[in-house]
Amino acid sequence: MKRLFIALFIALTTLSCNKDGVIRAEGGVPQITLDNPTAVYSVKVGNSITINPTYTYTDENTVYNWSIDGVTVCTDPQFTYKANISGQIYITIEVANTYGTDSEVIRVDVSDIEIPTITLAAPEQISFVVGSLYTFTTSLKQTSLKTDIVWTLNDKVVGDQRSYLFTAQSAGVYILTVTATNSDGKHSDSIEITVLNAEDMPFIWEFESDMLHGVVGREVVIKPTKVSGHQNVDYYWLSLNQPQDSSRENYYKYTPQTTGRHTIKANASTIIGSQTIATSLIFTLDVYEEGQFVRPATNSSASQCNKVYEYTPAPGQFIGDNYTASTPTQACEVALQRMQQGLYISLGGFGGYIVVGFDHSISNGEGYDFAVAGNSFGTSSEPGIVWVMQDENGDGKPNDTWYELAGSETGKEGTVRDYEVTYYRPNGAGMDVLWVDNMGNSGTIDYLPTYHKQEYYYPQWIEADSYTLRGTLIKARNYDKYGNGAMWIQPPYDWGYADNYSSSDRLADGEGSENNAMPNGLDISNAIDHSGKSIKLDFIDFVKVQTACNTKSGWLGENSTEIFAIYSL
Amino acid sequence: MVVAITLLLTAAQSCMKWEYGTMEEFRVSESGLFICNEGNFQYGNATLSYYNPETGEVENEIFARANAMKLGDVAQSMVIRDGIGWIVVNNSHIIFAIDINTFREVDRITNIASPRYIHFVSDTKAYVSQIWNNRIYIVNPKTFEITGDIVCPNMTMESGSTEQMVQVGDYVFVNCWSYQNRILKIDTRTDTVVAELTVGIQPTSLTLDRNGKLWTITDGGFAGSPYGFEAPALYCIDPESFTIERQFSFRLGDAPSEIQINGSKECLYWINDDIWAMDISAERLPVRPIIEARGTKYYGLTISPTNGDIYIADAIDYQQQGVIYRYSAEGELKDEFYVGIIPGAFCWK
Repeated sequence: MKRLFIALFIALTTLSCNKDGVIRAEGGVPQITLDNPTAVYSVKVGNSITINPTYTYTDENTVYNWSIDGVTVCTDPQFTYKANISGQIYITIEVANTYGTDSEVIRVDVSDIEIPTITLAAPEQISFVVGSLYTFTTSLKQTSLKTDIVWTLNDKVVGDQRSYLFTAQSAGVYILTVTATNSDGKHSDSIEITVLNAEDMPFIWEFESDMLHGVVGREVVIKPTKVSGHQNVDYYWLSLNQPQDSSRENYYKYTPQTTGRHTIKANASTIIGSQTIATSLIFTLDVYEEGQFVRPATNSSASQCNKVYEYTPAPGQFIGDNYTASTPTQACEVALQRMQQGLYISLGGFGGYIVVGFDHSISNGEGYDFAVAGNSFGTSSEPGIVWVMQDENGDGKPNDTWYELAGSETGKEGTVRDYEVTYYRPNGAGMDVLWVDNMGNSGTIDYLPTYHKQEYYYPQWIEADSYTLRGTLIKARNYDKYGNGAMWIQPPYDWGYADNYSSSDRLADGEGSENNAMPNGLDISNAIDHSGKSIKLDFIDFVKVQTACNTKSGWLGENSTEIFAIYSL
Repeated sequence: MVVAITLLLTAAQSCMKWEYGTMEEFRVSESGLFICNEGNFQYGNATLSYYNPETGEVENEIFARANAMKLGDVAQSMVIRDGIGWIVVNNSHIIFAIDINTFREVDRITNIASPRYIHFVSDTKAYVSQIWNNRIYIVNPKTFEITGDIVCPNMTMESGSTEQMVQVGDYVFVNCWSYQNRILKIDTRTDTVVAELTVGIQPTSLTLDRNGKLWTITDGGFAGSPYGFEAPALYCIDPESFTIERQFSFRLGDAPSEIQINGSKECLYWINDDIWAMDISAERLPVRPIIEARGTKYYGLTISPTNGDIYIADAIDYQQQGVIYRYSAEGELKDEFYVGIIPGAFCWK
């Protein structure tokens, strides 16, 4: 009853001003009511949005003014905004009559079209022998839209999951395509698969270089970087200088006894089908005396490394975060600058590494010879394996033999030497980075937009769309403390690693230092050769630090070695 | 092996003695602003800074300089009561009481598992909230002793999280942040939780307006969080009925935090990448920030209770010394200065 009375009262008073029933300007100051109560409108790039407020107390003399950055863009009661670029646009609507004005500020959030992006973890061309099985994995950029996945093999639909198990049934060329589709669009990635009968598989026996060098009395290993899986291959290695040291393996272990140039011949022959395939290679090995090129430290020598020769991290959340580098040279410069400024360098996930040199040779003395400062603390160790190299040929470049420094995990179960991980560049920004290892595993370096918003975690100075990192894997120890994902613990290892909160080789002067750097002491005497045998090095010239675990810790992301400094002691 | 033992002893001693150097004389009497610099977790590099808004002078590491010892690991928060500043140092399990004019330690409360904030109920009773712990400690600030605790319901040790405390009459309200979604109501006469109110995922902070209403802002969790991920929200809560009166939703992926209020308690401020302000009577969230982000990490926020100046702590990269930006209430930059690593909490003197 009361409500009805009020309504009647309003109707009567309104009518008294507006005899024809229309609310006129003389009713009072105009008021804007937006058609979206949050005043925040959303539209995708390329589309338009019409903002259609309702107004009170308006008539033909009412003035409407829509403006962006103080510039009038429309004088109608409604405004249509055409979104050309993504971002936030602030629009002011002001309405005025003779009694006064009202205004509102509106935001239009213009977002990019969310076409999905999918990446297949594989090279553009891949070959299999009939009977092979291979699981292809994908990385999909997260969007706010529901996305469907379809796999086709030569246009025939074969799957709808994120991964696909390919069976090489019969010889031929196949196009495998994976397509992700959502309401904004679709995106595909394809590869060409060649399936060959066993007898048609090409014979491959490839080496990184045929120009080698070494030190007299020290074993050299000449190992193929790629070798096909053919059976019944007849390999034969012969040194013209030491003909007694021949071998019938597909690699060659050779200990030169004299300085000077050694010539090594390598032959491989096999019968494939009815054809005999023969390959002949010649290697030259220049042999020097150990110590021939040593650069002893002087009073003016700097303990800190003075050059970064290579900075090739694995993908990771800190890669390209707060710095840019578009060539390998720039990456080295950035890495050195950051160390000089007391900032950390991240090596990313497994296998990522940095190679540094010094203005002097570091001699192998009593105890620790040099230190690597990392960012470990009580519950966070992200171990990096440390490698050392002598400048055997005195050319000032780290093109000699790397020797791993043994640590507490050397020789233990779960430690894998010659472990390889291949990382694949994502097809779009903001995506996980896929990896496949040489043990049949695959996974991702996760994109973590909450913490690290740079577009790509794949190093932008690496031109290739995939790259393989090789090294020694140690078993991960990280765990989710409470089982709810909230707190991840990355416990330390006993000794022998960088970025490791070791209770034995952590140097005390790292406690509470300005930049939180926590050094680990390293001893050249722990060097081991490719066979795992201890090797005596009187001095070293180059140091490589390489992320040793292939694991991730929930929201903390991938386990990655970080370093602040590398310096002689 | 000898090396290992020596190192362990050194580490243990450095935690026990906090030896640092000589004790510097300070005597400040004017009003000012303390800044707690958290430092890096487990590095023991927390520091305290002091800023004089009149002169623009800033003194860093004042605790270490005045007391010849380090502040400890993760300085989380500070409050002042009756001329004593109470600094909660989370991972050192300690609350230091300092003279706010000389910065000298008066006494300390020790052996608190994981303290976050301290709230004074009376001269002889204060509550200490905690993370990774389901208890709020009751301490006696006169004797510097722990006198009891309040067990919080539906909270295990690992999911335990109690944060900021606001008192209305006989009741203290506390937001439960980490892997929680509640506001608890504690009766200070019985030291028990008498009610709880569910809000969104992870209410970060809590304040009280001039109308006696509570405000909290959730961060919504994060993508991939096992506890969930949702659009965060700002809540206005009536403490009397202990119900949500109004709720304002942000966009999914936003991560607002640090709800603050000005001196007249009628304008709210928070961080959501940028700095935002909203009148308590507003009917919707503001569409435009008052201060835009500078591409770094705004981590702490306070509003001068006297002139409305806005102070923003920028943690930059969580590694180097942080910066405080001081803006006028209208958003004009008035001053900026370096403090310690990860400045997070402020305390007005």
